[in-house]
Parts: sequence; structure tokens; C-alpha cells
Amino acid sequence: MVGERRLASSHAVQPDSNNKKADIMRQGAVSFQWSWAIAIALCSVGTVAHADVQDYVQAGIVKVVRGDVLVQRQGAAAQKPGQPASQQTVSPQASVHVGDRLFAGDRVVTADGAAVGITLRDDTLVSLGPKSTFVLEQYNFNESSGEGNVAVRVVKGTLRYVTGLIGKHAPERQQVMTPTATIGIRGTDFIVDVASE
Amino acid sequence: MSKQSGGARLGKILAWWSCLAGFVLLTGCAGPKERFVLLPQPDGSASSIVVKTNTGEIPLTTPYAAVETDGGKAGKTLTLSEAEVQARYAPVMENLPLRPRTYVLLFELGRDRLTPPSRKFLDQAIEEFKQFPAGEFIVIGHADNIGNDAFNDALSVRRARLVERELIRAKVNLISIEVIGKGSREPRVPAKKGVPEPANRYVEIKLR
Repeated sequence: MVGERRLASSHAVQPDSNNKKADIMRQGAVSFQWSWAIAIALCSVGTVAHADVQDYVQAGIVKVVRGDVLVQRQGAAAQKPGQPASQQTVSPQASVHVGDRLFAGDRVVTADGAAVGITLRDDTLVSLGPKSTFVLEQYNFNESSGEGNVAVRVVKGTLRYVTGLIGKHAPERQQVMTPTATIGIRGTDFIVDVASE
Repeated sequence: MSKQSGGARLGKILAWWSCLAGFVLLTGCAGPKERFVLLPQPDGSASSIVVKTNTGEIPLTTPYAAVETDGGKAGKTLTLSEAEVQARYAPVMENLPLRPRTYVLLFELGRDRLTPPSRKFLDQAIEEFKQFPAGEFIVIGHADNIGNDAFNDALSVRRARLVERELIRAKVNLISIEVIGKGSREPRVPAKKGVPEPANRYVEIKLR
């Protein structure tokens, strides 16, 4: 194969250079994580171990944004250059725009009246409705072999999920989780609706 | 613990009831109400999902089949109407990204020049490309199996590059173009070495 890759432009979310602001927001982020941990501990179901080591590889691109949509990055993809690797690293929340990249570990939150559409590298399509919280827990995809795995979690709100190449090759390597259920997928398009508390 | 989380959402009596049920069924925690809806495939082919909770597995196998769960406890499976789903779930129905598409363009013998019908087709396709926000293109060039591999490799890249230039010239809204040449290794139609095959002088455009 003869080839090359070229990016016409870059839309990666940049780490916040304003340290003070970043620190304040990180504190907020940590407490948010903590409450999430409690939520997992409270429920005896839906406790899937968090992603192990994730590749710092683009998982998808944001294609549609309506209203306020935020992303919070964690793990390797949230690392600032020169920072030691840590799974605990959590980036401040940042607004999402069309063309932004998403990475494994990203948490996407939509505001009231907002929505977002995301295309993953294996052509899996995802849309989120208003007041939704979604975590792209795991994502790996090898373009040449067509193999990979994807795990997503809907904490609340609505998700539409259309399977891509990972699902075509190995449906069992896709996981969609809600607070009380997991979904086994066989080549499909569906909606998940988790009523907010 | 479960009383608190259930009571926050439901009426007090109902919360008691659901906690009791949860206790008996050893669910341990009254979670939120959830709903799952299977949507039809665009080509009408069969598909299904299985909703697994700690009280069992519910298969959904027909279009617009739906099930509601309350704290992991599943209700009856029912079938919603298409209109109901479109209305209730308009935000996710309307904001799904466009489905990825593939296009094939044919080239003239031994050169990086489109055949006249493919030239026309590309002009039409570019109008479609412009509907894709933040388009990701993969442009894969191919050659038929006459001449040597080195020549065909180079020719296939030149063909793909021509398409890349056209995309840039047309100011398509794109964020990446991956340009690949596959020489004569992936023909569209089988052909013996040395036998000319116009259908294998092509560029495939994958867009998502």
C-alpha cells in the first residue's frame, strides 16, 4: 500500500493554558468524578470496570452540534505535553464544535435543548438528545483488519446508536450500558432513553 | 440506600413498593426508568437487540419494538408507532450524522484522467460532499493489471491525487483526506495479468 495521511486542519481541544482557571475547573471535575464513583458503588448493576490503558488515538469526529455541548477528557488524551502519564488526569470541560475530535474516555454532556451527532472511525453513528450524559468508555479500531471494540455508557438522557464496522465484524465487541442495563447488539439502529432523576 | 434513590424520583408509596420488589429480587438498587427502542434498518434487513438487566434479558426483534425498565425491572414489550418515535425522539432522530457513503470514479487507460461520465459524476458528487459537515475522506486509487507493479502503484496514487486536488479546488467542507494507492492489487472485477480491464482503472472515495 502506498499512502499518506494529511490533515487539512486541526480542531483538537487544546489544554487550558490559564493555570488558575484550569485548577478551579479541575477541582469541580474531580468532585464530579467522585459523585459518579458513589453512583456506581450504590448500584449493584452496571459496574463495568473502567477502561484500562487507552490508546491516544482519535475515536471519532463531532459532526452535528445544536446548543451547548461540553466534553470532558480523561486519561492519556487529557495529558498536557511533557506531563507524566496518569489515568487520573481529567481535563476541564470544553465546548464542543463541529469537526472536534473525540477520544476514548471522553464524557459528553448536552444542555437543555441541545443535541450532538458523532461519527466514530468505524462508521458507528451516535446522537445524543438534550440533557444527556454519555461516556465513550472504550474505543479501539484497526482500519486495515476492521477489528476493534467499543463500549459506551448513557448515564442519563437519550442516545441513538447505529452500528458500524466493528458491529459488522463482531457484534459482541460492542457494549452499550445504562445505569441498570446492558444491550446486546446484532447489527442495528436503536434508541436508549434514561429518565433523569 | 435504595430507598433514598428510589424516593427521590417516585412518590413515597411507590418508592416503598419498588424497594420491596427490589429487595425480593435482590436488585439492591432502584435505578432510573429506562426505555429501549429498536429502529428499522434503512435497507429493511432484520436486526435485533437484547436488553439485559439483572432481572433478565428482553429481546427486541421487530422495528419500533420497545421495552421500559424501572430500576432494572422490565415491563411488557410493546411496539411504538413510527410517528410516536419520530416525535418523542426528534433530537436524536434529526441530529444523527449522515451515513457514510462510497463513490467510484473511472479513469482513462494509463493516466490520471477521469472518463467523461465519471467527470460528470464527480461534479454531481461534489454537491453531495458539501452536505457533509467536517467530512473525512479516504481516497483510494487503483490501476488495472497491465504494466509492472511499480508503474501501477505510482499511477494509482496519481489518480487518487487528482481526486484530492478536485476536492480541495471545490472547497468541500473537509477536515481530512487520506490518499492511498493500491496499484493493481484490489481490482473491482477479476482480470488476468496483462489483460486490460477498464473497470479496474478507478478511484474509490469513502466519505464520512
